[in-house]
Amino acid sequence: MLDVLISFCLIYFLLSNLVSILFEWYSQKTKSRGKFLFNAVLSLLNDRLNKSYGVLVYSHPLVDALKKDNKTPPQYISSSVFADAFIDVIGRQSIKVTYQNIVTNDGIQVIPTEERNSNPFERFRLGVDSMKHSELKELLRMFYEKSNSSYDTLKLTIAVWYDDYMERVSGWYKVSTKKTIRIIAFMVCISLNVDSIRILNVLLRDDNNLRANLVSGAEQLVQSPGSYRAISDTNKTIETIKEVIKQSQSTKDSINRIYLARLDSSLDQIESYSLPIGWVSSYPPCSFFVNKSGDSACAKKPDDTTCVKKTCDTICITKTSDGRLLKSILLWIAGIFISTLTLSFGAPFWFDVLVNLINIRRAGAKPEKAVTTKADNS
Amino acid sequence: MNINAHTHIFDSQCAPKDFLKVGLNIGDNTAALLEGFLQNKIGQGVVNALYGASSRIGKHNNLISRYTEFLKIGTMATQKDIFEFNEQTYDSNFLAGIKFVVLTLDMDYMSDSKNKPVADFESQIDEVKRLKQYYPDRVFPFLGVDPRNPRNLDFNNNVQSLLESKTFSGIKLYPSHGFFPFDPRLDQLYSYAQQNNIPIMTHCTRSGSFFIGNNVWSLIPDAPEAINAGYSMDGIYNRIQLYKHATDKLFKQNARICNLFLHPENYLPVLYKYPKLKLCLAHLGGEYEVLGSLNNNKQEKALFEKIYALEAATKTWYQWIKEILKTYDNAYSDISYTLSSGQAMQTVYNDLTSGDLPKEKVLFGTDYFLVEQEGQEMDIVANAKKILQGEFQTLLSNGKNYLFQ
Repeated sequence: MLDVLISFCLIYFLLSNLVSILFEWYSQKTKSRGKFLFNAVLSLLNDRLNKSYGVLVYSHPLVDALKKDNKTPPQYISSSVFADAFIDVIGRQSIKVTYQNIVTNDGIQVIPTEERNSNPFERFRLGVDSMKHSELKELLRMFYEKSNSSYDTLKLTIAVWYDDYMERVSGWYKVSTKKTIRIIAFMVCISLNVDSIRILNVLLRDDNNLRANLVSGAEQLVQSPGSYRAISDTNKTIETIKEVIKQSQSTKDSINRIYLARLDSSLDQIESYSLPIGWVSSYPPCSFFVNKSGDSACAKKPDDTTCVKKTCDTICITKTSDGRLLKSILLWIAGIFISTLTLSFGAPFWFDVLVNLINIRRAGAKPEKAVTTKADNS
Repeated sequence: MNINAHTHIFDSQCAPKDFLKVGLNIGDNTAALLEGFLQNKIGQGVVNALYGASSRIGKHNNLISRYTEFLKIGTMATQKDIFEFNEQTYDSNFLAGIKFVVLTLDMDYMSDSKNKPVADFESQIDEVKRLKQYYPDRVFPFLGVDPRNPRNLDFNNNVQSLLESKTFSGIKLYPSHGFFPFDPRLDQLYSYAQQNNIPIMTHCTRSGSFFIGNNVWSLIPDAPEAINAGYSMDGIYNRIQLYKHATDKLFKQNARICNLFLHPENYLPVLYKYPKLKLCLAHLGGEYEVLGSLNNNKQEKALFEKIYALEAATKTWYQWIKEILKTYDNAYSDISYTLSSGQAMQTVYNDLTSGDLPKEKVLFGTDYFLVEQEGQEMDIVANAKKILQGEFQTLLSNGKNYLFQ
């Protein structure tokens, strides 16, 4: 039973990994992470009694330089960059610039004069003093009072404050992206025909020694997480997707190329285990239609022995009556639904479960030896 | 010295969340639908794809590419990005080195409080202050003033100091956001502006941005309080009643009701009190008013006639403005946005050459980036130059007197 669980976890881990890559790609394309961060910073620094400081932080050269283009907000702002930019934005309020216009017949000369304290800590203090009394002002005043006139301490205090906030923001982001992840998981399940109920049946039957193969793969993965296996058998659905990826890899966009390469490698991993997934005539729901028309998949693929065996099993289930066919369809839908739900948990979750199960399996082997030794001694 | 006396660089964060209905000149329901669509990632992807496709095939005059261009500029990340996009366009064309009047707009009160902009007006002007530091002899910002914003109560610190430091070179009023130009709360501003020769730019066309909140009539009493200048307010008050009791659905829309704030007559109580005020009634009243019933566009002509029937008007806004320019020494107007209509520019050219429109009182301006809804800025400018011929250069250099004399 433990082997079945481990096999399941490995399958879910591999497919969740695929979902994660697709989600990251989607986030990158839609700039959703950057927009979420932008809104979070805005709400942190929006001071109705003074200014929308968040907007000013984003237009600060330090943060502005992190943008990919003038449409894409940065996906990540380090606490150090944030603290420097924010201190400067507040400090800038104390700078006074005046201009002198010298108009001549030829044109105009504008001479700016800047009144500015060159000490950034002092400038920050003067900037805070110039603000109207507000919650943000109280907070900033507390920061500089705690800083003992040291810019580094002030920066550290603000950086810690930002990091704490970002930890909460990460949580909000995860919650807000759950729906999108589920949709992507569903699309993966449909495109690869990931039917959990069918996978369970195959694992319980242990076709082609699949369970042992998966358990050994799981052991290998837990020991060296980056390891790859050679592809033992090809899966037609995955091969088709990989072919599309291969054709798309000529794209000029380097980021797209990176994601396509990651997808390709993830699909290689999945393919290496010969998982019972994909749109094959011997798997539900294709098998239902093959049988309905009375056209045996076995006859279509006489040279594919694995297929013949699997197809005949399916025929036994679906050939009997229409009531059984409906049940099979419902089971397939349930299988897809379960897969969607499980894949949306994410690859890290399944990896943790996998590690725990492997540890239990390893721990379970020892008493056997101990018993044997005891018996030998007696 | 060439000056574009009328440009905007506010980004989407400076505008209320329901700004789209103004920006794209569409009805409330259509705006809500389109806004939902554009906030959706698929919608944004569609706009990007449409823009990419229309740019590739060079169809810059079709409706989609015009609106996507407008949205592309308006949704750039910062005001600096929007300014630099325009500056680079000019510098690679026949108006290289031109100076820009950048008009800030206080949009904090142009909608209901729940739709307030992400970037409030304070942060909008903060960004413009920095832009002035980057381009001191290229950018001449005007400070937006809305009498409803409490920041103006501290006139010395929040208005006067910014003008005295010459960070801001003038004042921008946008009455259709929900106030009358004769509002007594603006009295101190007018007094200071006249005394110090500070130019004021207003909005004087029936199109453009307007109050988009739910209850516009709450801003329009039957007899709004006015700067006491001895000017008879009967005509203004009568117009309010005509709109209030209009039965046609057309006049129940905010876009039409807000015309009450914009009428050129609203400036007469101000000019009666401050006759030397340097005031620019922008857009020459707009294309509709310049062409009136001679408009070749049947839809625009029909709308013009409907409005005139309701208001029982005897003269167009264009005629009002021409009279004001002739009466008051420091009154100006500009061709911004209206320059996108070739037919209107032909009328303006005829009036400039005949002397009916005082040529030293008309400024060159484009209304960047709002004019992008009508076509590419430089195409529009080139077309206006062709029509206005020698007068074009006069308009370009009039800005110097308006700004610095």
